[in-house]
Amino acid sequence: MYKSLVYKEWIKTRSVIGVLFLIFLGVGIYSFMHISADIRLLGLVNLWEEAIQKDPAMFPYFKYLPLLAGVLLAITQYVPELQFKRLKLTLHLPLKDDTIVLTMLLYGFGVVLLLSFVTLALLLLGLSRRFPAEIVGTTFQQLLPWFLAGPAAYLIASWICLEPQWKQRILNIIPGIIALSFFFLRAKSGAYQPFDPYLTGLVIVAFSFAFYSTTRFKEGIQ
Amino acid sequence: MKGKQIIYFLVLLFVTAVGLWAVPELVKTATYSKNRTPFVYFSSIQKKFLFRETDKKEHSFYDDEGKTYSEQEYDTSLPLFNFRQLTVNGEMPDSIDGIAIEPRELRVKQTMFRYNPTNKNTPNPGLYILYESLPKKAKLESPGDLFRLKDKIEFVDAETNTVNQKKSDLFQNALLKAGYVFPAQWTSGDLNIRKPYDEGYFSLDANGQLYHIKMVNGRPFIRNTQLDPQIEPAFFAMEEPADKRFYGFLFDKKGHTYILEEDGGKYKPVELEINPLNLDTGELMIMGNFLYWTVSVQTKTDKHVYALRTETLKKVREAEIKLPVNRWNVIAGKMFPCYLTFRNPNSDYIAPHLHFTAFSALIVNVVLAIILLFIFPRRTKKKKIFDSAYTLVFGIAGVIALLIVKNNN
Repeated sequence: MYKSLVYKEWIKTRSVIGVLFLIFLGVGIYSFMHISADIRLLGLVNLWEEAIQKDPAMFPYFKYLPLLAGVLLAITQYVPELQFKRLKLTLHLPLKDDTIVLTMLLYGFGVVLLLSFVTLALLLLGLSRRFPAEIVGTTFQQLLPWFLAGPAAYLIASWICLEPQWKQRILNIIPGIIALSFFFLRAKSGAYQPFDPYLTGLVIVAFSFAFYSTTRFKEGIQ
Repeated sequence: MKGKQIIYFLVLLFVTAVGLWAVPELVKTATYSKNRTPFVYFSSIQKKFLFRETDKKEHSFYDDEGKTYSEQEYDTSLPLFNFRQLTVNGEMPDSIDGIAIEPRELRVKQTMFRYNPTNKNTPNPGLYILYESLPKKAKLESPGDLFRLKDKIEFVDAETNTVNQKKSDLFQNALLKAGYVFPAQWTSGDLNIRKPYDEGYFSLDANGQLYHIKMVNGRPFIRNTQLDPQIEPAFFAMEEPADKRFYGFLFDKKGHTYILEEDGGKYKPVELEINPLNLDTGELMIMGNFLYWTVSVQTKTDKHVYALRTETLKKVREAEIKLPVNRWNVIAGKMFPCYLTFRNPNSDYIAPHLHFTAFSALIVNVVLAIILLFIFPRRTKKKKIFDSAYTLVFGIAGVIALLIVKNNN
């Protein structure tokens, strides 16, 4: 049954996953082309010196991509479920309601997490070929909140998409957007270090939000 | 049912936390005004502090005894600050207190330094550039490598992204020979290539000894500054001033401020005769000329201004300015008994800080809690009590969260 449920999610999301994969790949390749051009034009020494003195963003085009991935995936997964109340049919599958919701959430969360963190690992690996460990570490600190925003955006968007009532959906959007802005505060690289555990905590807590919406759905609120 | 209630509380707490940050942040944006403190500079003519206050483009000028000045009088009373304008006007005096004013000396003895807690509380990538301190050309040149200094010193070559073992060993051995004990606690220097000359870095070793590290003719120059054990270095700001009188500003753990001078191959800390500075909350500003330094030490509530003799750094005059209370602080003390921020003006790091303002602000929570007891009559008694108690604790953010997050039980 789990396999079928996951397959159903895959059918719904495969096109979006494909598009996201291509966007991440394209932006990744473009970012490295950009860095290579900077190395040729300015020289590696100057880039190193600039990296430690001016703290530039190494991969600025990735800033909102994980967030976009999270939101897109949640919309693709849950908007069809809410149309014509198809979620009612899904919840009638021979599994506990919470298990069904959890499986769907884990599927989407896993995809966003995999896409985000494999990309993050590849970016840092690529950077480490020409940059010392300290600059790679600084870049990791810079990218981590942006990439944590992906799973957080997925869970918050799921909470909003699964909400059965339009008025409540709009009310949920307000704290949702404000909470996601926490991942994008203007700060020096490394400044998020004490905040990262709290952001991770927020992601963990946000796992429960979708259950709040499905409970309301099951209670027939509309 | 129990699980459902837990999830309700989690969502409620999440929205409350968002509100504890967002609502005060909105009010702050609407009400925040910058603390306007008068500009202050010590007059080498009047031997008093002169203040310039700007209010809606109107300037007023007065001294620390309350005497007011015209703009013309103010400008001529500060010849060492306004020397360019006075020279153009032909009003620059030839001497002050019998000391002849040399334009070159005037220029090179100008000191401008500002310390803010964010200078210390900021992320550091842990890589530095070691320039040649005796360059063959007039300007500094990039060495082509960076160095790290923690458990050992290592130079990383930029072209190959590998450790330059020969250079690393040369400096590692020199450090060990000079008695440097690893790991380094901190290292401070000016990485800017546009500075007029280079004095390398000052680094605190594991034993709390301050070392001077630079590169002279491609060779390591490592010296223990041999500071008095009473001085426990907490922070060093490399300054490399034009007159080469000192290396930079040294702050110790007790809050004393020193300049670190070169003294015949030795290092001499000269203490500024000012009150101790809290490095995590206080601000320091120094504007110096060849006769006097005007030093301001600012805390959250007041600003102490000192005039120090440039030669000795001994105090000749002192004044205190009370800072006006910010409009935001007044409002916060009336509306929000507690609120959340992620930024700290004294640090570059992002972290949640829960601020507690004043007990009097609890009145807002009490009033809101009472109102919530009597409106929305369709709620059960249990729910009414819960909503009121929640509002009592979380105030405005709590009410907003209760309105957003519905509990159907």
